[in-house]
Amino acid sequence: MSDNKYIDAVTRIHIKENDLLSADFLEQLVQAADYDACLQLLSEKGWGCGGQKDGQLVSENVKEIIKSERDRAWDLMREVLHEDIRKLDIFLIPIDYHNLKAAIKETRAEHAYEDIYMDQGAFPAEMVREAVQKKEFGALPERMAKVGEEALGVFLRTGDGQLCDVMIDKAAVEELVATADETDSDALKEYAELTAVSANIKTALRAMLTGKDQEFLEKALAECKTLNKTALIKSALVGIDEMVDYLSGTAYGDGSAAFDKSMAAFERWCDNLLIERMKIQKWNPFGIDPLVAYVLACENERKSVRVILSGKQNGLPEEVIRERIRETYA
Amino acid sequence: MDNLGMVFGLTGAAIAALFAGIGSAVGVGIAGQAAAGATSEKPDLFGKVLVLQLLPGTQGIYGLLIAFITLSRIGIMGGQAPTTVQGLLYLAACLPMGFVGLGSGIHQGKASVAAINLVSKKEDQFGKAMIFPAMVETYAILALLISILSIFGIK
Repeated sequence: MSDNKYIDAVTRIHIKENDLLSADFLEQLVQAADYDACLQLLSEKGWGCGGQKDGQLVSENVKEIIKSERDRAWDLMREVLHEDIRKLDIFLIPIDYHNLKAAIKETRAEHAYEDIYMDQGAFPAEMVREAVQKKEFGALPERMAKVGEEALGVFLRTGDGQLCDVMIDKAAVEELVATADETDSDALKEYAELTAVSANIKTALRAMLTGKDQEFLEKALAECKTLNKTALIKSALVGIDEMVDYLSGTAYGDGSAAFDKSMAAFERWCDNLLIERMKIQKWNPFGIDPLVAYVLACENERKSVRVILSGKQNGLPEEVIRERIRETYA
Repeated sequence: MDNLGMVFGLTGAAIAALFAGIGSAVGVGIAGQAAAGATSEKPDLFGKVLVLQLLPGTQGIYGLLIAFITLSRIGIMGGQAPTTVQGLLYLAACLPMGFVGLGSGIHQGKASVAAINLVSKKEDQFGKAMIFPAMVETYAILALLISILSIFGIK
C-alpha cells in the first residue's frame, strides 16, 4: 500500500515536469547575446521569479536566483509530501556535513565567519557550530557526531585541514548510502550509490595528483557496491592511465573518457548518468521515486543555469559553456 | 438446516457484492487521488480525469447486479428457497464476479492512475489514455457474463 501513498503528489509532480527547462531552452540561453538577455529569457519562463511567467526576477545575482529556485523546488516538495518530507532528508546530508567541516575549520580562525555555512540542512547550521565549539556532539546523529569528534581532534592536533575534510566527506557518503539502504526507494539507492562512486573516483584522482599514499586512500575512500575499493586504490597508486584502465572494466567505463579529460567533465558525466537513470521515473505513477527524480532533475537544471549565467558573466565562448551544461530530465 | 440452500445462495450474493465492491472502492479511491492531484495543478482537466477515475467503478455495479439477480431467485427478494445443491451452485456462480471484480477493480484503478498521469502531461492523449484502463474491463465483463449465465442456468 506504500506505493499508493504518494499518488496525488506524483501526479502533481508529473505535471510540474512539463515546466522544467528543456534542452532547447538551455541552448537558447547559451546563444543569448549576454547575461541580461539570459535573465530576460529566464524571467519569461518564470525561472527565478517564483514560477510566475514574465515575472520579476528575485535578484540579478546568480547565487540569489539559484537559491530562489532551490527554495521553490523544496517548497513544492513540502507542499506535496507534508510530514513525509523527512524521507527526502537524504538530500540534506551533504549540507549538514559541509557545515560540520566549516565549524571545525572555524575553530582555528581568528574571527567568526558567518558566510561559510549553508542553510537548509536537516539541522540548523548554528546547532552544528555550537556542537563543535563546545565539543559536545550529542545533539548530532551518531555517525556525524563520531566523525565530528574525530575530525576536530585531528584538526586541532595536526592542523591538517585536508585530512579533516576527507574524513568528513567519507562519513557523509557512508551516511548517504546507509540512509538510502534503509528506504525502499530504488531511486534513492541509485542516487546514493552514484554519489559514493563519484566521490571515490574524484578523491582517488586528487590523491593521485597530490602524491598521497595508500594509507590516506584507505582512510578517504568509502565502500560502495559497484566499485572495488581495493582495485581503485591500487590503480590510483600507479597513475591516471591505470585508473582509466580500471574504470573501463567497470559499469562506469563510459565515464573514463570524461575522467581522462578533466574533473569537471567527469562530474558532468556523473550528473548526466544519474539523470539518465532517473528518466524511467517520468512515467512511473507510484511510490516516492518520481519525487526523488524530480528533486535531482531540478538540481541538474540549477547547475546548468548556474554554468550558463556564470559563463555569460565571464564572457566564456558558447562552446565552452555548452560542454558544461547538464543533460535535461524534461 | 432446511434453509442451507438459501444460506449458500446468500453467501454467493454477498461475495459478489462484497469483493467486487472492494475492488471498485480501492480502484476508484487510488484513481481519485491521482485525479485530485491533477486537478489541483490543472483544474481544466477535471472532466477528463473524472471519466478515468470512474472506470474502475463498474466492477461494484456488476457485483451488485449479480447479487440482485441471486437474491431474486433464492427466496429473499423473490423466487423459491433453493435446495442445498442449488444453493451451492448459486454460490459457485457468484464467485467469478466476486474475485475477478476484486482483482480487476484494483488493477484497473492502477491503470487509471497511470492514464491520469499520462493525460496530465499530454492532454491531447486522452483518447489513447482511456483505452489502457478500459482493457481491464474486458475481464470484469467476462466474469459478469459467466456469473449471469451460471445463475440463469441453475434449475
